[in-house]
Amino acid sequence: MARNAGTWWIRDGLDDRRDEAQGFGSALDNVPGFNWTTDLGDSNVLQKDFVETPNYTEKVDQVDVMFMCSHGVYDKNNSSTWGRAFATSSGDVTDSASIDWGKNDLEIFSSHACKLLYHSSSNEVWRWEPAFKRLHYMFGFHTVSYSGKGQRDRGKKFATNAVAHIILKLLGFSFPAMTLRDAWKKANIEVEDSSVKWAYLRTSGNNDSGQFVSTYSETLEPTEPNDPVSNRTFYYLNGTC
Amino acid sequence: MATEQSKPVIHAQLPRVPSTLPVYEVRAKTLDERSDAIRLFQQRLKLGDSTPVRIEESVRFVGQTGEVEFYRPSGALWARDYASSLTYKDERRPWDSKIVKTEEGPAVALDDASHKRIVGNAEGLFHDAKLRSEHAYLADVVLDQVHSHSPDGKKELFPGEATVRFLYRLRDLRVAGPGAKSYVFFQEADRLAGVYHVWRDVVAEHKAEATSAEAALELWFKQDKQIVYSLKLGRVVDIDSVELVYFAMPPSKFQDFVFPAFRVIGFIHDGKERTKGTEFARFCHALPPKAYARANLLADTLMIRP
Repeated sequence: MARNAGTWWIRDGLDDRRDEAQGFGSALDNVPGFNWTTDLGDSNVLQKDFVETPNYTEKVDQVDVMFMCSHGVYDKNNSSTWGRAFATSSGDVTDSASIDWGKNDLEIFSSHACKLLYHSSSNEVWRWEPAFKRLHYMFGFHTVSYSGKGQRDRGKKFATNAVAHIILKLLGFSFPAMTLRDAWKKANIEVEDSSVKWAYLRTSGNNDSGQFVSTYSETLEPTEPNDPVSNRTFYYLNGTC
Repeated sequence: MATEQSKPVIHAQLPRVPSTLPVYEVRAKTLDERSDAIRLFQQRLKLGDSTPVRIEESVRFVGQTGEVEFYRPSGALWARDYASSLTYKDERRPWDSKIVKTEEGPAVALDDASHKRIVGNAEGLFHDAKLRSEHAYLADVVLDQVHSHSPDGKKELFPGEATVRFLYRLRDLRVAGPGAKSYVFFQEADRLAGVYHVWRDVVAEHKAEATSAEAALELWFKQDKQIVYSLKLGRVVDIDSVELVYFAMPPSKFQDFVFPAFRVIGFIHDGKERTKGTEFARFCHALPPKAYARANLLADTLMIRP
């Protein structure tokens, strides 16, 4: 069964932001074993697709991997508010909301929203742990990120890096797969200023059968991976773009 | 009903812009010119026999454990041993390190001996690859910060992969943007993980007449679609930081001129609840298209937004 990709984007006047997200979906759509099944923009980017909503199946959990161009929402002068919310067209999605990403399908959440994965000793990134129902990775930024022509290829590059081994295999090469964390780092080093810091939050732990699942070396494959669901250790990294 | 603001509110202290500014004509190295560096990186990273595969703007020399990617538009190189991190069970690396205080709390940094050793290794590597430029300077060593939170609630901080960063300067201005970086990545002091080099050679220096920062920003305010869109909706756009830099484009883009730009950080809010809004970061031209036309510098990258 193929794995599904989803893209969400809020342009706020910049078509580059739409292109950045859609580049992720279209790059995966060309790869055997992946389908780009969800593409929602502007007024169709809804809070209820990210937050638990009664009698509704959140669209973010009908895909395996997703990329979103939205905004981090916070008070610029108060770092205790950083990384606690991102915008949709029908309201912000906050870290305190009822979120169960992966409950149905989602393994990989990625967003360029500014400071969504900000971490400090007084505002720890562990605030997003409750969102990890069966999620493996949240990819984002510790700092602001840029929007513009230079960043338009971010989504495409992230996806292409992550599936390069599958594409090259079609050409007859045995190419070492780039881990998802390497794919995110490389894409952002290519498109961002050196002042920006990429970040990710991931978890390893036991699956439903009690077997240990490490997401450290996880690569993007056409098959469903095992989900870490219990006895989990969370890892957070940030580094230079 | 929201009131439409006519223009952003500038809180930043604006940089003083000289009456003329240099504009640098640059040239991307060819694959042939990069062949020695490619071979060197393949050897140092022990990537084994490689095969060139052409994918979009790049030629990727695919080896058994990694690759060297050559970006045709810029002559940039990305070399990486993808297997190098897989011998560790997670992101932690066995550096001799120390805890330092930062505004964000404790951070981990390399001890002085490890720092000195990898800086020396990185300088030697770029020297051997003939990739050193008179415009480059050693910026710093950035250590990936690895935080863990275990099931028993224990929170720990460890050193991760280290990056020795060389950045670029033209005259006294920083070259910003994605296209002016030379990085060497280390798993450990003597375990090279990869190299990234993007810098287009300066081949000529031109001059163009500059306007004031205020005038250049006024023009940009009318052209930036997010600002125009936000003002139209009655939102307030704060300009909080403006830095005069040179701008270098990503490695996958063609660029004939490295041009003066403003690095702008701003904040958009509804004007009522000033404690909640969205931040943005953008590069914009510091010189208007007419300045380039008068200097007979004609290129699309000098006309359209970066």
